[in-house]
Amino acid sequence: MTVLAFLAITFGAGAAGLLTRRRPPVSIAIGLVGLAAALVSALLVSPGDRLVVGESALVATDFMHLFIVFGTVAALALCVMALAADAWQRNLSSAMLLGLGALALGLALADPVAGLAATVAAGLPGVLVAITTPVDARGVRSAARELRAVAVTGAFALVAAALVSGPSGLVNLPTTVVGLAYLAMALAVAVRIGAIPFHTRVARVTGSAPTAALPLLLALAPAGFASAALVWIDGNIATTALPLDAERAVIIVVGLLCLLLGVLAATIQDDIEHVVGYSVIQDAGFVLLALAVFDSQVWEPARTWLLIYVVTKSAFAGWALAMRASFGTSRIGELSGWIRRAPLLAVTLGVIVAATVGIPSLLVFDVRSQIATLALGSPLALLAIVGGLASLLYYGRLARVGIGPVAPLVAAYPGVRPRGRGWAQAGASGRAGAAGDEGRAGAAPDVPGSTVAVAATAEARAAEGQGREAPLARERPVRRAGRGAEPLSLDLDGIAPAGDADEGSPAQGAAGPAVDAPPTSAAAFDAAERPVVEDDTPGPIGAADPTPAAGASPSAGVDAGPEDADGLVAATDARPGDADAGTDDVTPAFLLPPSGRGPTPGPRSGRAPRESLDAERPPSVRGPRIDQLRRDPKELTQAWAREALERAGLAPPSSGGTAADAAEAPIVEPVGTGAASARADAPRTEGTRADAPSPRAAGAGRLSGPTTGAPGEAAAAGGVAVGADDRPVSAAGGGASRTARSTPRSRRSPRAAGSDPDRSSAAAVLWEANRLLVLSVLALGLSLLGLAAAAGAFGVSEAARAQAPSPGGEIVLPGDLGGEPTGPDVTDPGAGSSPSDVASFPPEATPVP
Amino acid sequence: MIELIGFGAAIVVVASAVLAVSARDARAGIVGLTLASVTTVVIADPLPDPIALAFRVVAALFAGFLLWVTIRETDARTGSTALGWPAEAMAAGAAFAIGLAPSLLETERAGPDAALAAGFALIILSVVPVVFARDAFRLGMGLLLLLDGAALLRIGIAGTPTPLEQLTLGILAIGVAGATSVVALNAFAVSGTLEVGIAPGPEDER
Repeated sequence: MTVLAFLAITFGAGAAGLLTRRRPPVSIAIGLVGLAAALVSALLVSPGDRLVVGESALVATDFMHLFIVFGTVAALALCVMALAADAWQRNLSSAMLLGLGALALGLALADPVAGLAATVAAGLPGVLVAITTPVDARGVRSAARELRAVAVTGAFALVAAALVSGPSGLVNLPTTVVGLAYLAMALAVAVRIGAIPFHTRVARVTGSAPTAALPLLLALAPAGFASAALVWIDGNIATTALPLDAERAVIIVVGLLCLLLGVLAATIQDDIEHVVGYSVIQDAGFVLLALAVFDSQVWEPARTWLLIYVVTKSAFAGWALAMRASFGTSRIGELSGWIRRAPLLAVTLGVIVAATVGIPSLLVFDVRSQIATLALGSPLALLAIVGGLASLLYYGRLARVGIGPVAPLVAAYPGVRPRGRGWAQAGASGRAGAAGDEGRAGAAPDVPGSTVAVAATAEARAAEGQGREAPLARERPVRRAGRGAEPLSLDLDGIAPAGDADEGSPAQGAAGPAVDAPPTSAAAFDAAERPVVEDDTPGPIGAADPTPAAGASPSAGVDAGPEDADGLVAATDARPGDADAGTDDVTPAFLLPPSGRGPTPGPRSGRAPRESLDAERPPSVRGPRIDQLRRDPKELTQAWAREALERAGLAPPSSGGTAADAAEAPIVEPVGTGAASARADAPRTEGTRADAPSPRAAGAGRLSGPTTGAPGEAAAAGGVAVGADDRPVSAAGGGASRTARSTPRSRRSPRAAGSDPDRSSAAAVLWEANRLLVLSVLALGLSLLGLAAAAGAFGVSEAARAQAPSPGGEIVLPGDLGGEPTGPDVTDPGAGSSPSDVASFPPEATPVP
Repeated sequence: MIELIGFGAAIVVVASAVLAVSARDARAGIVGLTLASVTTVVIADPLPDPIALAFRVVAALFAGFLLWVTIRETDARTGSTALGWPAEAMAAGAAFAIGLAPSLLETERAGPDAALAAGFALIILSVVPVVFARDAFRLGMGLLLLLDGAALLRIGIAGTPTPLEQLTLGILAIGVAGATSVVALNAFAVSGTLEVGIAPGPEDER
């Protein structure tokens, strides 16, 4: 029953989270509460619990117990980190919950084929998070590959299980058939974990999926399936005692390839997420080696390795997430000196290294050595052991970069402790432009002397990507950014002049002024006017207003969000293809800094007809103001900018009289971040964001408040940084702006109402420090959990040892051990309940005639 | 009698699958796919437990419905087979005949021959959509046919699945169909077509 409670919580909360995803705060709350409840439920699962379901049963084992506990802890930590890093993907918690539920079901089912099918199904929720938010073609391709891998894995597993399924399968099995079944199952595992040569899917996923989702996609679900496959192989193939040397050799070769080439690939990557991905592939090599061993002595180390693998890879992904959120980049070349600025993250990486590589007395080292020895024998085992230790190469590279000279982006890192006013400035601005990177976190630098250079680098990146943004070929500029992009000198002083703008092309993301971005296709325009199709699908980007665009603004700093169909500038630091920025990357209001609180992501915009959206607008932003903005966006937006700068203390008060005067002005609840184009060298005010260029927002200034319905017009309004305080970029979609405008003046934030800006900025700074602290501490906590598991805490070895398969692959509970064997033609593997018994298995393995 | 029914059902399954992979109109493809998935369930000897049978049928219908909704909201055009339906039908027929060969597996089997034959045919038919599909709908259809084929192979070799296995197979089919819908809708949102661009070739290198 305890397993049933876990299943009910995970499936229930996961489904509820998906159903409420149109209301991100509710969905996030459901997801987090569901994960917390699932963790409690997982802790309460009592091994040995059995629930009979028809002819089969759900049985809780120690291994399953630890697996779901580790998985739930990792999922909860990563979700909180994603929130803190503004890297939330709206399906993240739901996918985690559904995946965990399916994994628990698969590991608890005594029916081997049903268990395999359930663990395969655990990979399907990954499709929800593999699609990047905001959606782009790259994310769609990754999701399609993920879907294909999951389904093909399931087909292979079904076929293999059909060929050899204990009493219900074939009898009098020829060796060839058993070998084929064995190979089919090993192939399924190899495809699922992304082993070389099936690794391209992993590489693509790491390049596009949110960092917080990587453990689910690459470690958790594949490890669950590998565990079920191990049980099946140990119970159905190993017990036949047939000579399958050729098949084993093939699997060993693939495992060694993973070990050696995975290290090589991880070492030469320029991107932390790719390092994480290839490190997963490398560590999965030991899983394949374990599949190649029929000796029951491998049972314990193989399953122990799976448990450690899940936690350590989650911790590594969490560290990568924290790094990206802290420094605003994941490119290793731009992280020089990171250890000097983030010692806590350095400690975290050290713990991860210790938990992954281990030392000879540590459990993790021992289990790897055992697997290698059992699979390869001496002296080839040394090759695998060295291959495992070779992961020090890429970890060492990260460390070497970390102790180098401090790079500009790293210099902007505020640390987790206040260092006075200068830090406060950096801290408050460091978050500008954060997030929105397809679910990945980012932060902007703001260091005197480096700001312009960094912004210019981003601008150079953006320019590098111009003209290459076809609907199906949009790439993220940050990905294709040349490492050698020369910093340029930008004059970002003052309000960027208005100019002709592109029509909100999808290419016009944070890449800045998408001068050469092609106009949105006619099909997209057509589709833009369609009713909302499905919440998961962002509308054809920026296509609500088919008014043809007239070029693009040369000014650095216009980001007409693609979801601007309702006349709102959903200005995020979105990059090309940020079609869904308005709703997908959402940080709930209650998690925002106090000064940025208020705007709440609203329903999607961008595909509904403008008329209906006009009707939804509050009276304050309907009618003449919108008309005026359409007529003269430049004047109005400049007025708004002036107003914001005045509130931020960056400009002397004016006597008003502009179109944005107090009586009529929309609430410019600070929405703006990434105010790159506002100015880079203006005097700074503590906590202000107006002077914080973001790498991605360097060409993507933030425009807040209502503006024309045409994204192109929004772009034409110039890169005006209205937001004077912080808000997560990704949360500032159209819905956010809508909410901001609907806020009554009397309910303005203190700063907006003209209160002491220092107070608000102090709160923002406090939040900033807390945010980074939360990220660092959570990453450290996950890594410590991994280290504890790697050291043998929590009874990892005992749990792994108890996962003894019975003939037919069924899991034998400790209470069943020593009972009557259920298989017709194999010895009793249930004797593997104790180490000595396991060592003696199979004592008299009977080959199937 | 049951063997005759199973044989007839297997032919219906293969014919429906040929329709599914050959149709240029996705709606026709969905009809074929759903018919194949529903009919697959009854190719077993003995027939599954009524509740399990009903669940599999409902799951197959629901999977088809999910794809139908996707097509209704996006684009009904899909990539058809380049070979044409006669070639697909011949390939499926050949695989069917191989599956019926009594000496294919020189061993005793627990399931009907028709299931094995239809399973082979479905797997052969699904290879091209799975490997070379350029649009999400065709990819999902191929994956569902692949899973149906694997399930039929399992029935043909190991006999009628247990109710729990039927349950997980049905959930897997629904999950794949749902994931296909998500991918298709997002692909349509990005490009205005169902194209996902995962087929091998230069396009894949973008």
